[in-house]
Amino acid sequence: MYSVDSLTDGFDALTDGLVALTICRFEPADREAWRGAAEALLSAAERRRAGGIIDPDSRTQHVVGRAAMRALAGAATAQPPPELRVEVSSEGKPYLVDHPDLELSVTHSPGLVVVAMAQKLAVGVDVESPRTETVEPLMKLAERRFDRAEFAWLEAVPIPELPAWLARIWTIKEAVGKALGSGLGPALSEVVVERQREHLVLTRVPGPVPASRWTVHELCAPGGAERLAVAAPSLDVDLIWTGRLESPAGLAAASLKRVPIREPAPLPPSRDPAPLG
Amino acid sequence: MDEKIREILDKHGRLAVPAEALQEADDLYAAGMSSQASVNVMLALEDTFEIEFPDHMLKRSVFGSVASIRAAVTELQRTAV
Repeated sequence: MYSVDSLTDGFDALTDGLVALTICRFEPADREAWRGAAEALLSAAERRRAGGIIDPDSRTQHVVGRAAMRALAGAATAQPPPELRVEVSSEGKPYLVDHPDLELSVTHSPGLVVVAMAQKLAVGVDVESPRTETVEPLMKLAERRFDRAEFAWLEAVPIPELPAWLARIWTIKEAVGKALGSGLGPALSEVVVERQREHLVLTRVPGPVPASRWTVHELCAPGGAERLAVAAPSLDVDLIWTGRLESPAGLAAASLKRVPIREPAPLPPSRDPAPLG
Repeated sequence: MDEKIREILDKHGRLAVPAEALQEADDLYAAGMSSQASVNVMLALEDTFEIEFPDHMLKRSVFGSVASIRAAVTELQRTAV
């Protein structure tokens, strides 16, 4: 067990094996202010596309995600965030056209955006809230799509604990899928997660890097109850919080400086202990 | 088929607007659908139309609009015969 604050002692620049995370939290009442601050960091084309998002909450989440990603990448590349050329792959993975070494991943849920950035290391991040109403459809999904052994251990989980375990397994699969760039579909069935007591361990991942050489960090999102997973195909991966933005003004001032986030305690890393067998 | 798809979207898509208010090419993710909601929509489509979506079809371009869902369901029904 470790605390977020002790994940690393600080850093000056993004080095290999380091994943920089930025989190933004916003209340519905502040939606307009966040959206305004975020859209100022986007390219003209992104602003036009965002204008087509009809749901105000979805639009705010989208633009804050894009802005936080640009702010973090801008700090890493010393370029003004609106000038970075950002494209999105056919599977929805964002990338910087002029900085192929920088890897990015964005996730959001209501009132929350998290961005992960790494150098020369694929990275995926996903966040979900444990919710009782998702148990039935997710168990149906697990029965149809997940590995049989996964469905078996999920079926053995006491019902009150299922929302949390489902949020954990979902975020791990989606984070790995994002790091692979394969999208969600293949990740649901081809990424396999085994429960070992309170730990979740990757046992199968498609692609050239075997599951035993991936790192998955599981955390509770600071300031909330959401489950967060960060995945990367390497054994030596450390996380560092470079931003906890609770006001729109923070977006424009994003930097690579480490910020202390002491609460809440994260979940145990899912690669510890080592897989059995 | 469109009516059934819109019923499923209303029930499972967690959209911010009624599905009947959407044009067939409107972006469902822009209307508030999350990735988890898109999976719930997929499961309901499988039950309703007695089809099975292969993994590679669970992606934004397939679940992004009423029109793209209809095209996918039609294709899966055709290949299932």
